[in-house]
Parts: sequence; structure tokens; C-alpha cells
Amino acid sequence: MMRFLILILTLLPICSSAAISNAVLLSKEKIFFYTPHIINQKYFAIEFGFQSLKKIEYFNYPFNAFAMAFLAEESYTVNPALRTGVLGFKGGVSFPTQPWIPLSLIITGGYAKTALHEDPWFGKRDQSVERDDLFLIEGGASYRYKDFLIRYVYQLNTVKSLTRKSFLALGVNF
Amino acid sequence: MQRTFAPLFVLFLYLGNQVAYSFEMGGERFEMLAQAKIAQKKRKLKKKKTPKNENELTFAAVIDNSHRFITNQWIGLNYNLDTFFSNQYSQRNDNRSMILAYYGVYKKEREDPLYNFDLRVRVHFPNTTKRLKIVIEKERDEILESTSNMQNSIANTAPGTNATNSARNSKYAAGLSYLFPDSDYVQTFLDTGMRILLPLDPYSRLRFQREFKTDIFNIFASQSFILYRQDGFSEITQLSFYKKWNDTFQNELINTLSWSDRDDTFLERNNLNLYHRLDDKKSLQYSIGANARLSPTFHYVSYDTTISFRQLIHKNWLFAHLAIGADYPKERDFRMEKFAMTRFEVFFH
Repeated sequence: MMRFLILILTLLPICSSAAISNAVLLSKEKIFFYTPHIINQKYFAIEFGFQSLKKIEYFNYPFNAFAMAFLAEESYTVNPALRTGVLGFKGGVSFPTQPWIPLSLIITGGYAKTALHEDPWFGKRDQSVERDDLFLIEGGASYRYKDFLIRYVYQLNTVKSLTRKSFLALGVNF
Repeated sequence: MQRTFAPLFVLFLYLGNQVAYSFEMGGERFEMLAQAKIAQKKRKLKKKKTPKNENELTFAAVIDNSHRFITNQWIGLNYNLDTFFSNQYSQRNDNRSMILAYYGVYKKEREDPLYNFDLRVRVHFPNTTKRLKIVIEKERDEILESTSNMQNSIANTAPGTNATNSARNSKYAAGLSYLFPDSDYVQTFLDTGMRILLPLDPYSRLRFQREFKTDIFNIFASQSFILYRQDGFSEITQLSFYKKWNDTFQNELINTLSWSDRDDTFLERNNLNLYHRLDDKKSLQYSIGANARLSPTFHYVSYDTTISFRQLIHKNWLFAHLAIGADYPKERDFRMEKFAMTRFEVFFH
């Protein structure tokens, strides 16, 4: 929790109202993120959704809001034969930090269904070791280069079998 | 004797004098007196009743305001989140978000009572899910509904109670529905989708139904084929007869035959219901049912009978439900096992 707060509080002050231009915002409707297992050991995630442009009129501060459906999988650290599958939804906001570099602060909340299982996707439901509801919050930053995105988030969630906290994802806005 | 009548005589003179005086005043004074008396009575009534009414109103207002506050907050939150993410506006009243809180006690003969409190929420993001290109909806457990006696008797007691049943039995699913073009002969529905849970559980449901209206009664026939990856294949055949006698009474005879891959057994249920509408807020349901298995040979496994009463206690959100009945299971040689159930439901919708 402390790490999450430190991350948010570090990035938040530099979110200034100094004439954020649309150039640093996501402009196209759809977004797709892939969290590859090559970078994130024993974990992968796929997220797909859309973004919309928002504005805090009082500060003349534009930002993006997004909603995504996602699926993820993490190998269970206690027993390598088991994996936790995650299927659910996320919604969040992406605040540009300053007008010049397209680096944004990301805050996300989400809900998902999870199953700890030898085959969490195609196995039989009765053979699940554990089935839980997942609530998560994420804080992090994303950097945009043209339509491509790179994102780092720190995640807090309510499911014990999901132990990984930091995630690095690659994305595209199209 | 004179002593007795003397005070009465004086009183009579006094009153006569008063009346005469009133007439002398042209009735004006009399009228004023009458009005003053009426005003005095009103003041007395106000003095007596106002504090009681105020207390009642205050208490009811607090309850209503709390209910309205929670409802508005919940629907407002869902509506605002939906609008925020989708950037699309819709009618706030169209948002079908809901909270259902209920408390129930079920007691069966020779068994400990079961106390059940639960809180169920329904979120509704129509624009967001539309933009995500998926349809998220509640799906009903058809097999459970077709075979359970209590579920049916509880669910259909009064209009609007299906929401309770679906809230209890259903799960969220993302999927697509295809409504076939209307046909004079039969209505066809096809749903395919994926339950939002893991391991993955895609499903497909195909339903044909037709209603025949006659002068005597209406006949409803339906045939459903359901395929879940996790639960396998199942089918439900239903033939029902409905008769609405008048605004108060309605009869239905429901015959259901279902088969499930899970236990590879045909189950049959015959259910005769009489709906008795007492008024707009109260209803009774009398139900008798019989459950049978078709293997190894046709045999009845249980009978049941239920009388249930349902009442809308306050406005359109507080319901009370009382049911008493008995089961006659074969494993107990069809001996009676009495049960009683009471339940309170609060809807925030």
C-alpha cells in the first residue's frame, strides 16, 4: 500500500494545469494492452477496451478515461502445477503529467472472477482449488510514442494466490 | 318534588333567555358562537393529533428518505460511471441498477431453522458495455427453476417477484442474443455467450415456444435445448395450461419434463397453482406439486403442497413473504415433512 501511495503521490504533483495539449492524450478510440510473460515472469495479461476524452473545466485540464475487459494468468508460487486465471473488467483514468512529454499517471479500479486451477481456462469447474472474486486497484504511469504505449503499474488486489505486484505492459491505441 | 324541579326550572329559564337573546341578535351571534365552537374543536383536535401525526410522518419520512438516498446514490453512481467512461448519455431512469437486501427464516420439521441474510447488487452500465461490444446480462438457471418446487412457489406469487428469483439464481453472463424473425407458428430464441467466471463456460441456448389461446384456457408450450461447457447438455420441455377466471383468481397447470447430462435422468414435475389476488398489494398462492423420475421406470419421488402469502408492505420496495407447506419425500415413505418460511425483501431500484 505504501509503495502504491508513494508512486501516486510522486506523479500527482507534476500533473499541472499548464496548457495540456491534445498531443499528449490518447486520441483513438480503442486500446489494447499486452502484459507479456517474457518481461513479467510467470504472468501474462491481455486487456482490450476503449478510451474517452474528458476535461476538468475548472482547471482546463484534459485527461483520458478508459474501460477495459481483461484476462490474466499467474502461476501459483506455492505449487507450480497450479495457475490462477483472471477474467473481468477495469476502469480508470489517465492524467497527463505535463504538456511536453506524453507521460501519464494511471489510476485504475477493477473487478474480476478468478480460479486457481491446473487449467484455469479449459478445466472443469468442480476441480478448481479456489474460486474468488477479485477487486483491484492499480497506480502507475504510461508513456506514449505515436500510437504505441508502454505502461508500468503497481497493483493491489484481494486474491491471495495473485502475489505479483508490478507489471510492465505494451499497448496500442487504434 | 318542588325542590327537585326548582333548579331545572331555573336552568330552563336561563337557556330560554339565551336562545331568545340569540334570536334577538338576528342569529349573527349564534353563528359566531357556532363558528367559535367549531374552531375550538379544530384546535383541540390539532392539539391532540398533531404531535402523533408529526411523529409518524417523521419516522416514515426518515425511512423513505433513507431508501431514496441509497437508491439515488447507487443508481447515480452506476449512471455516472457509465456516462463517464462511455461519454454517452442516456436516461437516468433507464438505468436498471439495483440492490436487494433480504432476510429470511426457513424452518423444516425436525431440522434447525435456517437464517439467511443476503445483499445482492446489480450493476448496469449499458453504454460502456455497448462500446465494449459485449452484452452483459443476467442468465437464469432453467433447470433449477423447472425442478424446484419452493423456488417456483416463491417466485411467482406476485408481480415483480421474478426479480427476486433471478437475483438469487442467476449469474452474470456476457453474450449475444439473436431473436429470430416473428413467425405465426412458433417463436424462436437463440442465445450464445460466455458466463463471466472461470474456468471458461461458454453456452448456447435455443428455445421454441408457442402460445395457443382458446375460449376455455390458454396453452403454452416450449422446448429448450441448453448447452453449457461445464454442465453439459440439458433440455426442458414444458406444457402449461392457464385459465384466468377473473381479476382475483387465476389457475395454471405446469407440466415440465427435463433432462440433464449431469445426472442423465429425466425429471418430471406436475404443478397446479391457484393465484389469489387479494388486492393490489397482497396475494396468495396455493400450490400442489408432484415430482417424478423416469428411470429405471416412471415413479414419483416426492409430493409437495404450499400456501404462500406475499404482501407489499410499503410503497414499492418493502415486501414480506410467508409460506407454509409440506413435502412428502419417497425416502420417508411419503410421510409429511412440514415447513414454514418467512422472508422480508427491500429493493433499492
